[in-house]
Formats: sequence, C-alpha cells, structure tokens
Amino acid sequence: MLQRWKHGRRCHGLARRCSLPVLAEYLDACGSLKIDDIENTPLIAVDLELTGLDKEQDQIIAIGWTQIDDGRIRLGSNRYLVINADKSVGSSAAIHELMDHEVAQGEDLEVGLGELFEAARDRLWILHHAGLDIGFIKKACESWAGIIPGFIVLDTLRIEYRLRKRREIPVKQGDLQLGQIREVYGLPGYTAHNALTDALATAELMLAIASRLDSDSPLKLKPHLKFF
Amino acid sequence: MHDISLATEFLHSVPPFNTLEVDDLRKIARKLEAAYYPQGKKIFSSGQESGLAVIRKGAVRLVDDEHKFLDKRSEGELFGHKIWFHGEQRNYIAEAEEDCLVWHLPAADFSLLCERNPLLCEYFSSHLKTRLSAAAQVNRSVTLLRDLLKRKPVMIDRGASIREAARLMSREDVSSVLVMNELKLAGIATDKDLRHRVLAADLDPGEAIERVMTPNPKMLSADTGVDAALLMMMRQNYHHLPVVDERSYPLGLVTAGDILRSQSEHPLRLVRDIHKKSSVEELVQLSRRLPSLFERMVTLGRDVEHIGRMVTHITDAFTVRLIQLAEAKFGPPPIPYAWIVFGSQAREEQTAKTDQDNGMILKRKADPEEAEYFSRFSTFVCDGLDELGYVYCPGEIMALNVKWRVSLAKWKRHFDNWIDKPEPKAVMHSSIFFDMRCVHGQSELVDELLSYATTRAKENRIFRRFMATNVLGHRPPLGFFRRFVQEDDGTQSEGLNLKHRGIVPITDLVRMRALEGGIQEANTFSRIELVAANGTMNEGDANSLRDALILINRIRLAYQAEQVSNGQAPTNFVPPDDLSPLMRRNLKAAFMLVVEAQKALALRYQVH
Amino acid sequence: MDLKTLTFIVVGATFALYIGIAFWARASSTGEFYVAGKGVHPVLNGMATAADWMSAASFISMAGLIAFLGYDASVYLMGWTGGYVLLALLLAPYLRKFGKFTVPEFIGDRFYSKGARLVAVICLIVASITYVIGQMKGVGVAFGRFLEVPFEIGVLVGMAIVFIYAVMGGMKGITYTQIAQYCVLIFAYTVPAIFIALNLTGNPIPQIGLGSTMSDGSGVHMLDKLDQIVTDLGFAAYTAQKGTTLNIFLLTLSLMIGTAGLPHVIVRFFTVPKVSDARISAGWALVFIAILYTTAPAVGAMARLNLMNTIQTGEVGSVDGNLAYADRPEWFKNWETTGLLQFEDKNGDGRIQYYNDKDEAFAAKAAGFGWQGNEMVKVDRDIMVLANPEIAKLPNWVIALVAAGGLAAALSTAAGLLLAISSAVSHDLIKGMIVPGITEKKELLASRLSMAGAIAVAGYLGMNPPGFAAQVVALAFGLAASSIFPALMMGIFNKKMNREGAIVGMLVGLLSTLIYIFWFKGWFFVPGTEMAANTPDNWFMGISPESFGAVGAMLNFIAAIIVSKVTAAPPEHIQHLVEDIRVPKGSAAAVDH
Repeated sequence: MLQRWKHGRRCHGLARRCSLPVLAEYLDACGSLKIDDIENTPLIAVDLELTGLDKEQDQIIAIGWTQIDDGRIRLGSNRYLVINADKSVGSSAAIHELMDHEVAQGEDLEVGLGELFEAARDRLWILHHAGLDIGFIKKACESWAGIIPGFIVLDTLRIEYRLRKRREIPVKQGDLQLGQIREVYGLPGYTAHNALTDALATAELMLAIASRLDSDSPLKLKPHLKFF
Repeated sequence: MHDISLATEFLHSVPPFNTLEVDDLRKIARKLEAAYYPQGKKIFSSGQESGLAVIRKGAVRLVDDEHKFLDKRSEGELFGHKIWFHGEQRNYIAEAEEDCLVWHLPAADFSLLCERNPLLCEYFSSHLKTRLSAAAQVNRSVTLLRDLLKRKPVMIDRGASIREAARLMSREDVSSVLVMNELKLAGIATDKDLRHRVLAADLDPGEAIERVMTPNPKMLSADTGVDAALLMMMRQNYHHLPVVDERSYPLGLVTAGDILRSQSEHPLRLVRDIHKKSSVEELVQLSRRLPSLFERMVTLGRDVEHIGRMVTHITDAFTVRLIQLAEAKFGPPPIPYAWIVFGSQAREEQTAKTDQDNGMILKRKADPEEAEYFSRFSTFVCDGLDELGYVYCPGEIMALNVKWRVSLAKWKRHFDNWIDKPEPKAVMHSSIFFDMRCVHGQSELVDELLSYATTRAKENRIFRRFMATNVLGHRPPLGFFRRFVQEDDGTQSEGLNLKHRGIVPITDLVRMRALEGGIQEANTFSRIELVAANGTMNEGDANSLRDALILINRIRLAYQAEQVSNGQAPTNFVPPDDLSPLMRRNLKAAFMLVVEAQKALALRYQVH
Repeated sequence: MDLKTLTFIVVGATFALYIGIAFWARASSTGEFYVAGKGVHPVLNGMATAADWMSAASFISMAGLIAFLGYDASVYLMGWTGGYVLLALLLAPYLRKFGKFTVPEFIGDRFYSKGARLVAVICLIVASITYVIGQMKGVGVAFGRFLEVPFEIGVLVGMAIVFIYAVMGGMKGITYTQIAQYCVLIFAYTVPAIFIALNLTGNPIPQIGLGSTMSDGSGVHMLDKLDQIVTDLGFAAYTAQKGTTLNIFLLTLSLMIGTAGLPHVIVRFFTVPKVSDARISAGWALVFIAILYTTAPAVGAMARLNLMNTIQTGEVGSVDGNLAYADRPEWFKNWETTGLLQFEDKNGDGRIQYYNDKDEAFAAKAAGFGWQGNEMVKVDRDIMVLANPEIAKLPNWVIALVAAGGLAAALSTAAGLLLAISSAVSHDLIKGMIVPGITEKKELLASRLSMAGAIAVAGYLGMNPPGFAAQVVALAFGLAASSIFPALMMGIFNKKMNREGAIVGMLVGLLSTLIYIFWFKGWFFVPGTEMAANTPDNWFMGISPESFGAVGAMLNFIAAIIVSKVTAAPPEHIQHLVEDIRVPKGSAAAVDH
C-alpha cells in the first residue's frame, strides 16, 4: 500500500519534470494506474534481446511486446522491433540469432522506447525475470530522457517461485526458465530468445499462472506486484 | 513482418485456413485473442457471440446442456461455429478437457470472414460430407488462362475480305485473326491459311475471309487452369487457341509457348524435348531428369488429378517416341496396329515411375513373317522403356509377350475367356485390362475392343460378382471401432498403406461402377463423372467418392513431399501419428465412405 | 455336467468355430491365398451347397412330419430333393450363361419387361419369407427347449440371433464356414440316428435299420411293429397312403418346382469360376443332401415308435398300460415348459392316454376303457428330432450336439435367405424400380430394414398357430410354382416366347392358384369365407390346394404359348441370346465375331 503510494508520487513528480511527451503521458497514467484483477487490468508483456547481461556495457538489440485486455492476449497488438546498436552482437548472436547487419538496419533506441512507452500507457508490465530487463530499460531511459521512471511489474518468474515455495516444491537450477515453467502448464513449446515470442510466451504464462492461483474467480493482482 | 508470423504459421496448418493466402491469414491472425483455460473450465456455450476458436494447445470437450459428451477437439482443431453431431446441428458447451491455450476469433470478425470468403463459409456451415469436400478443395491455387492474357484479340467480321484481313494482320503484327459472327467466334484464320488456301490456290483476295478460315475452332474457357490447357494443347497438337469468356466471346489468344514461359521449368517442357531426341541413348539421358521432376511436382502441391495426367503424359511421350524410333528402324508396320497401355498409365494416374504394362492389338492375325516384325518391334520398345526406368512388368503384361501382341479377334477371345471363366487369375487380369488406352496407332481397334469388352461385362452380372469379390479384398485400414489399422512387417508398424488400402479400393470401386454403366473411359475421375451423369451412381455418392480419393491422394502426396524434402525415398506408408488431428479425422471420414461404398457393393452382388 | 451347461458349451463351441473360420478366411483371402489362385475343391463346395440347401425344415421339421404323417410325408423328401435336382440341372447352368444370378433379373431381361421382373421379385420375396418362417420356428423350438423357456421366447431369442448373424453377414458367404456347418449338422443328425437304430434293430445304419426286424427277438419288422402300435390306438397305419395318387404326385411336383427358384442356393452355383466345377459340386451336394434325406424316414419312424412306447407302456386298455403322469421322464417335463407338449388329465386317472379320438370307432372303444379323450392335447411335430435322443436316453453330449446341428441348419439357410431378400428389396425393388437415384447409404439402410422386417414377419408367423404358417407355405410354393417356374423354363427353352406371353402366363398361373387356395381356405384366409369345405370330396379331381401349384403351372404354360403365338415375336437380339445360351460355348466361340 505504502509502496504504491510512493510509486504514484514518484511517477507524478517525474511526469512534471519530463520533457518528452510520450514518456510524460506514460508516467502520468502510471501514477494513477487502477489495479484490479487480471480480467479488468490492462497489461503488457515485454521482452528484450540483449548483447549481454551487463547493463553498463551491453545494449538492447530487440524489443517485443504484446498487450492483454480482459484477460485475453490480443495477437493484433504484437510488436517486434530490432534496435540498432553500435556494439557488435558478438557471441550473443548464438542465442537470439540476430546478426550484426540486421541489427545495423534496426530502429534507433529512442524510437523503440517511444513506441514501447506508448504501448505501455495505462498498463501493468509483465516480464519474466524482470530485474534484468527493467535495469536495461531504466538505463536506456536515463540516456534518452534524463530521468529514471518507476515500474510496477508482474514478474512471472518471481510469482512462480513464490508459488512453488509456498507449496514446498523444491526448485532446482533451470527449473524457472520460461520454457520449463510453460511445459508444466501445458503451454506449447516456442523457439526461445526472440523478443516477441518470449513476450508472447510470458503473457500466456501469466494467464496460465493466474488461472492456477485462483481458478474460481479472476486473480487479484495486487498481492503479486513488484515495484522497481 | 515478424509480428504475427508465429500465429500465421500455426494457422497455415489448420484447415480450412490453409486455403488462404498469407496476407489473408495475417488479417485474421491480427484479430485473434489468446486465452488460457485450466482443465475443467467452461470456455463458452455456442451461440451468437461465441465466434470461432482455434485450439493452440490442449484439448476441449463439447457437451450438451445435460453435460453429455458430444465430441472432443484437440490441437489444431476448431470449435465455436455450428457443429453437426451425428448428422444433427446442436448447441453445445465447450470446456477444457486439458489445460489449454485457445485462440478466439471474435464473433464480429468471424462473420466478416465468412462473408468475404465463401469457401470458408461453406466449410463452417456444413457437416461431414461437405467438410470433406471443403478439405479436398484445399491447396488449389492454380494459375488460370485468364491471368496469362496480355493483349486483346485481333478480330474481324466474317464478311470482310481476305485482303482486309491480311492488312489487319500486318498492321497489328499478328499471325492469326479471329473471325467473328456478330458476337460469336466463327473461325480462325492464320498466316498459313492465307498461304495455302489463298496464294497457293490462286483465290481472289476479294473473297470473304469466311471461305478460308478454319471454322469452329477449339476454344478454352478463361477459367481453365494452365496445366489442363497445356496438357490438352500438347495432346491435340494445337499451337494457339482462342480463350473465351462464359458467353463464348473471345478474350484473347494463348499459345503453348505463353504457358510454358509463364511456368518456368514446367514439367511438360520435357515432353517437347522428348520429341526432339532421336536415339534411345538420348532418351535415357532425358529420363534421368524424371525423379527430380516428380519430386518437384509433388512439392509444388499441384492438383492430384493433374499430377497424374502430367506424369502419364510424359510416360506416353517416351513410349510414342520409342515407337516412332522403332518404326523408323524396322520400316512401316505390315499390319495396322494399336499400341495400348494398361493399369495406372491407362487411367492417367501415374504419380511416379512404375513398371510398364502394355500390349498391341493387330488388325488381323499376323503370318509368321509379320509376327517376326512385331516381335522385333515390341522388343525394341519394351527394352527401351526398361532402359528409361519403366522396368519390365513382373506379370509379363507387355507387348514383348506374344500373348499380349495379338489380333483384335484374339483379344476379344481373351476377354470372353475371363468373363466366362472368372478364375482368380482371370479376374486379376481383367481388373488390369479393363483400364486400357491407346497411345499410338489405330485407336479404332482399341475402341472396338473396349466397346466389346465393356458390353460383355455390363451384361454379365455373374462375372461382375467375381470382380466384386476381388474388389472387397482390399479394405480400408479401419478396424473395430473405426480405429486405424497399421501395416506391419512383423517387427514394427509401418503406418497406413494409403495406396493399397485407400486409393486402390476407390479405383476398384469406380471401375466396377464404370462396368455396370458400360463406360469405356479409364481415368478414375472421368469415370466418376460419367457414372454420375448416366445414373449408374447417385451423384452425391459419386462426389463423395471423388472427394475421398482427392483427400487420400493429397495426404499421400503431402507426406511424400515431406519425405523427399527430408532426403528419404517416398513411400505409400503414412504413420497416423504424423498427421494432424484434423487430417486424421478427414482421412477417417474418407475411409468410412469407402467402407460404405464397399458395403453397398457387397449388398448388390451378395458377396461378403 | 448337466444338460443345459453342456448345451451351452457345445453350441458356443460351434459358433466360435464358425466365427474363427470366417476371420481366418477373410484374413487370408486378401493375401497370398487368393493370388495363388486355389479355388475351393468341388467336394467341399458341394458340402457348402448342401448346408445352404438343408434348412431347419430339413433338419427339424421333415423327420417330424414323417413321424406323424408316415408314408405320405415322403412327398416332402421327393419334392425337395427333386427341387434341388431341377435347380442344379435345369436352371443354374442357363442362368449362368445368361450372366444373371437372380431369377427376377433373368426374367426382367429375358422378357424385356419391368412388370415381369416385379412379379418375379414379389413371388420370390414371399416364397423366401415363407422359408424363413420354417427357420424361425426351428430356432424357436431349439432355444425354447434348451433355455427351458416357452416357445415364443425361444423364437424371440432366435430372431435376435438370426438378425445379428445375418447383419454381420460376413460368415454367410464364406465357404469354409458353410462346410463347418454342414459337418456339424450332418454329424448331429446321423449320430443319434445310428444310436437309436442300433438300439431298436441292432443295425447301426439307420437306412437299413428302418427295414430290419426288431432287436428284441420278436422277429417282427420295425415298421410292422409301428403300424400295429399306431393302429391299436386308432391312428391310421404308418405306412398307409392316405391321399390319392394324383394328389400326391401333384404335391410332389409343386414342391419341386416351387423350390427350384429359391435365390440363396442359386447364388452358390456362381461362386465357382468354371461351369464344369459347378456341375461336379452340384453332384456332390446331392450326395451330401441325400445322407440326411435318406436318414430322415428312419429317424421319423423310430422317434414315433419310441414316443408311443414311452407313453403306452403296456397293453392298450389295461389299467396300468399307460404311463403315470407323475412318473413322466425328464424330457417330458422340459418340453412341457416350452408349451409344445401339453397334457390334460381329462379322466382324472393320473395316467396319460394318447390315442386318436377323431376316429369314431376307436373313440367308442376307448370310452369303454374309461378314457375320455386324447390327453396329449398338443404334440408339436417339430420337437421330434430334438426330443428323439432324449427319449432314446442317449448321453447328454449327443443331445447337446443335436441342438447345435439344428441351429447350424437354421442359421445357414436363414442368413442366406435374408441376404437374398434384402438384396431383392433394396436392389431389385427400390433401386431398380422405385428410386433409381438412391444413395448407397439409403440402399444399405433399406437392406437392413427389409432384413429386420422379414425376420419380424417370419417370427410372428412362426409363433402363431402353425396352421396359418402352413397355409402361407402352401400359398408361397403354389405361387412360385405356378408363376415363376414356367416363365423360367420358357425363357430358356422357347426363343419365341415373348413378353406378352410370359406376363399373361404368369398372371394366369398366379390367379388360378390363388383363387383355388382361397376357395377352400377362405379369401385371404379369413375364416368363414370359404366357398367350399376343405375336404377331399370337394376338391377338383381330388387335388388339394397345396398341390394345385403344379396345375397352375400347366395353365401358365398353355396360356403363355397361346398368347405368344398371336402376338409379335420377341426382338431379334433376345432370340439370338436364347439360342446362344443353349448352344455350348465352344462352338459359339469358334465363329469369330
């Protein structure tokens, strides 16, 4: 409760200071976001592809997202953007299969962030293992707009981890990878490490987890939030 | 570009969406909404607002108001639309049988989709038989002649003079002109006509063009597929044909060259090349191209009927060329004859290189010297075919065998024997020999023999009863409770034998029907059309059988294409587990139709 | 082991055998078995044909008829055997050359007339259903006895089993199943006969035993002994001829030509590719049929003797000469539950008096013994073959075997007939005449429905007073004899016979026979509408309605020939066809077309 209030205050404050209209509108909406159950809260699932794991050195090279309304993923809202980076993708290409020449033809990071925050307006974020990606986004925002916005996030990894701990299911290394958890919920196997596919996969997983946590009525989201 | 491909890729494997172009699929995909339902959760009751749902993963059970089980749907299958259960359309409740991920197409978008696409509309609004029919329509994206027409035809009134016509032709720089009678096509006049019928015949160029034109030329509808058109032109040896609309008004001219150019590397180019070769060695060289050609045709996903006709046309071309070479080598034949082919080549249903089945009909009995000629002649042709890869027939049904190189009268006696003494071997023979076609020589001989044989078979129900017993020897691979029965070689299951247990039974059934109706045509599709037309077979039954044949063939070809692209040799065995649930269901429906037709046959002839 | 269990085991085992063979044959017919081109040996095919031919009527009813009618029942033996010979020699070869395997098809094509075909279809359907009645009755008797339930329930069980058997159909056409059925039924028929013959006459061969002396040392011939026993009780002498010779002759003829066109046996001649093989199997079939048919008179006579001896234990008229009801044997009680054997103690002495109270002279004499009428108020003829081994106190396994044999006979014939009926209805009638564009699905449905309908009709008639069934039988065979047979013969042997002649002939034969039967049995069998009492005195020249079919056939011939002479000859191609089928094929083929 306190956290939410703090977050709201921060957002409104940042919105006033922000000179970029897209981000300002996002922040404004973010401060007064209504959070109810999964069917009545607009959501956006996001995933990034990175050249590496170090946010000081590495860069975002792709962003993918999809929106959820009324508890259903709207496939029409799918978006996938390749971002140009000045740094070589290097060995990370083996993971996301993006080559330097493709990356070179990508959009500028600013354009990508603009689109992302426009899509995320009035929406709660869903990410799998949120900490890493949010870190990169914050860093990017800093150089883009000079401010570091706050985020309210449903982290599917964290929710699943807590769920398992509560049910005393032992968790081993690798068990909480996106693909592994999806298998448990009977979701189809996708090729991992495409930003859009992963975002979609995360969105589906969120719906599955929600139905598992509370199968009688739509899941109340407030207890599962994580603030960044 | 990538945004929606995940969805379109999946939709592309889901009938009936696989009939759509990628652009249309994308439009649909953008309307989709994904939802997750845990096991046991109700998804919706069918009705106005349910829209259409695709199961992306998991399984859904459909139950009625009293929660009685109606049907089950699994991955890649649809629900939400009107569904027939046991021939009756009912409302139903859909609930998750397993955890499942479902893609919803909202009701408004669904009805819009149906409005725009009548084929889909038919698919969603009808029950089993029509569903089969819609499934059989899949993948028919054929280029039509309409698409090839470039310029308007050059036309002239039939009353115009030859001079006027010639001037028009040079002005327009064309080699032929269409002669019109009001709004109807009356004839065609070409450069050649002007040379032969005017200049060479010293005709007054003031005469009406009507006098020298070729009247009532062959025409093709603009909606003819290019494959069919090309096949017809090559077979009849036409160089250019007028293309007309539904009111027979000319839209343009098309030449075989136009078509070939439009289809780069068309299989039938081979046919042209075959006719240019003048030795067996050269032909053998050409024949090396065959395997890759078959693969290409299969992977192109062409219409089954046309693949059969094209492959057969190539075989025919090789055969005819060898016969021409033989005639050149041994001199003209002492007796008029016809070279006939049997079995799948006769039916124009070859889908891969097979062994040769052929024979000769001589107009009269040959004396020893003449017999010697035909012996050398047939040896040359059959050996040649063998070298080309059409290996000797293990049953020795070849012109090489003196038994199948006899006079018309002797051929009739062969048929008399089979019909009067239908011993197992005779029945087997007749099922091969009733599929007969002339590829070279005096086709009247073949016509006479066929008319004699089919009339005899039509009149003799006892003989047909023996054939019916034989036909019932090949049953579709459905066991008790309609489960698939797989072939096995004793150690491991090999899958469903779609050829012997699917296609052969249908071909056999249709042959029976053709004999009942006294039809001489050999091609299965043509036979089906003819028996339905002359009332031997109920039209609905005929259509069902045709659809079943198309469907089974398509699944077989699709599987073979996959095998080929995986670098395996194509087989006729398809493991049912490799098929999508809908394909499995359609295949089962097709087999059920065959079972039904066989039961009706058993009833008609009191055999079991 | 008690009889009931044993019966279940034996019947179950035979069924398992048939089904097993059917599966084996179907599995191998698709494989190398067929390609190897091995046909069925003519001897085996003969057995299969015999199984088709011999029905429950042959197995169960014939010996029963003989047991009670005595000598006169021999017309059935002669008629049915003759019918087979006629079919094998006169009909099958020519139909084969004509290329048709059903009689309506032949008649329709030969007389280029749908009307003629329709008449033939209807006559055949009626005749076939009548034949099924006999099967249903036989199955009902067998089931009633061995399940120890009333006869009607037995019939219902039988109907269900016959329906399933016929719909499964698969087993019918398979020659090896038929062969197995023949083996079961002939074994079941002859084994008890041998036992009983040995018992009574000391001679194991029933056919010889029938003419031998009794083994009790009296030196009396068995038939003389039987004659004496039955006349003692006021029945007509067993070996006496009761009807006029003309009537017996005509009845035999009617049965012969009435059965000649039965569809289910004709088909079997066309399962052999070569005509010569078909002829050889027909010959063998006759041998196999004869084994049963020649045993039947012995079975009938001995069964009657045993029955009389069981009830009349001592001197006629002596106080303890009759069996006490309380002492009645087990088989007596069992048959009482079926309702096919009924006793009513009219004089209240607790003993069973079985005699002919219709014979006035003997009835008066019996009254002197204190007898007040025949107390065996019901003795169904059809129980004789099944009860025979029990009466003769043979071991239980023999009795169980007889049940299996009776079922084999009934099932093989019933299934064949039902398939023929359903094919005639769905193919000839519905597809051929009423709805030519019918879908295959509906055709199949029609065949199932007609099968079920035929079973229902036959079952109903089988359950109801046998008198009614007998009348329908007479009607059916009369109609077939008077309409179809002449048309077939003229179609084959008279190339000038035309459509008009054939139709008029069939109608004349049909109507004359129909009217004659109705005249004595009531219009449409409605009691009270008879024009004259059904007694030999009123009959035309002493010819009974059952025998009139042969006369109708003659009228048919005469009318057809007269009409064909005054109307246009049949088309050229039909005349050629008729010439062709009678000329041996070899000479026809020599002329090069």
